[in-house]
Amino acid sequence: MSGAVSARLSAALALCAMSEAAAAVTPQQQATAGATIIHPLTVTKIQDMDFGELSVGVAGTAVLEPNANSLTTTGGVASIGGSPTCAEFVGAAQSNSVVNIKIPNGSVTLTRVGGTETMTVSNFTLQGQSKRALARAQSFTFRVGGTLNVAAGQVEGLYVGTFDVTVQYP
Amino acid sequence: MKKILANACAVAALALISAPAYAVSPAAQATATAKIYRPLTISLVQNLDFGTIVLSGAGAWSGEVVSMSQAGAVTCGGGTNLTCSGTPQAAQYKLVGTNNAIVTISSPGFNLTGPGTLAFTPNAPATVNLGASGATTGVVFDIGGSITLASTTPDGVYSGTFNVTANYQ
Repeated sequence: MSGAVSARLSAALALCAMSEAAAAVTPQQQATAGATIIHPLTVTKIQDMDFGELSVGVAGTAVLEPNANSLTTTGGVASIGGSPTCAEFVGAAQSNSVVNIKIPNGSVTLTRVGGTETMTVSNFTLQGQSKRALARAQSFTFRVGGTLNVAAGQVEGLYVGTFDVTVQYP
Repeated sequence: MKKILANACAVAALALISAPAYAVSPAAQATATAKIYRPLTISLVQNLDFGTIVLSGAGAWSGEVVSMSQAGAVTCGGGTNLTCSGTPQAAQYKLVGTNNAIVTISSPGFNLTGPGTLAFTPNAPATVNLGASGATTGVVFDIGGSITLASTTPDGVYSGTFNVTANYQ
């Protein structure tokens, strides 16, 4: 008699286990699908330049280096977070040709969002050669870095500016 | 003789009535079976990337399909209008569950958005066998897919998110 009872119990347990297994599962994070599409003789931004989150005491700089895509700081500036990254662009040639990449020569001003305080980015640097020999329909990407100049006691906030790069196709 | 027979019948009837009081065994025993599964988990391993696609064809054209196999190999349209480069890769998910269990995969289509919208049709396996080490190391499976491009497709960076679910078969 006790054997019969325990058998029913185990059957109920099995049913529970089965119904739990029947629920579909989803990953905590789904994959993304991405594509970069470009027409020849154009240049397209893939990534904005971002110095991340910085703290400042005395004056200093934050330098984005485009070959390693790395951030270093000098003086009283320290990197305290965010996702610092160089700007990145992609272009494509139409025919066998040599293209010429031009990055800003001087400095670009960043203005605090909701304010008037400014900083500058100077000494723009290019990943690789400025002249690239390309085959027909060959695409090329390049990163652009620069030096952010932070004054002592720079007002906290988000600073934004824009800069242009130009690709000369023959 | 007749009386004895009647008595015998009475005894037999008595035996029938009392029969439920004794344990009896049916000719065939019922079996109780239960298959216990480990909880199934699925996790992201890597994202899908088509790489860089140059719309290199001259003039106006449309209907060029860029497809990626589950192995990550890209077929770059018909060959005249598109030029694919970069390091394309298929999406990958990892399943951990009961050894040798069959898992069904669902991956509905979605859009890649950016400067425009591209319909993305996933190419996922219908089922995955978790194999001998499904409970320990698990099994990684790949998902490819396809997009259709035209000379008028706006250029830029496109991205979309899968909606993959898995379930024991």
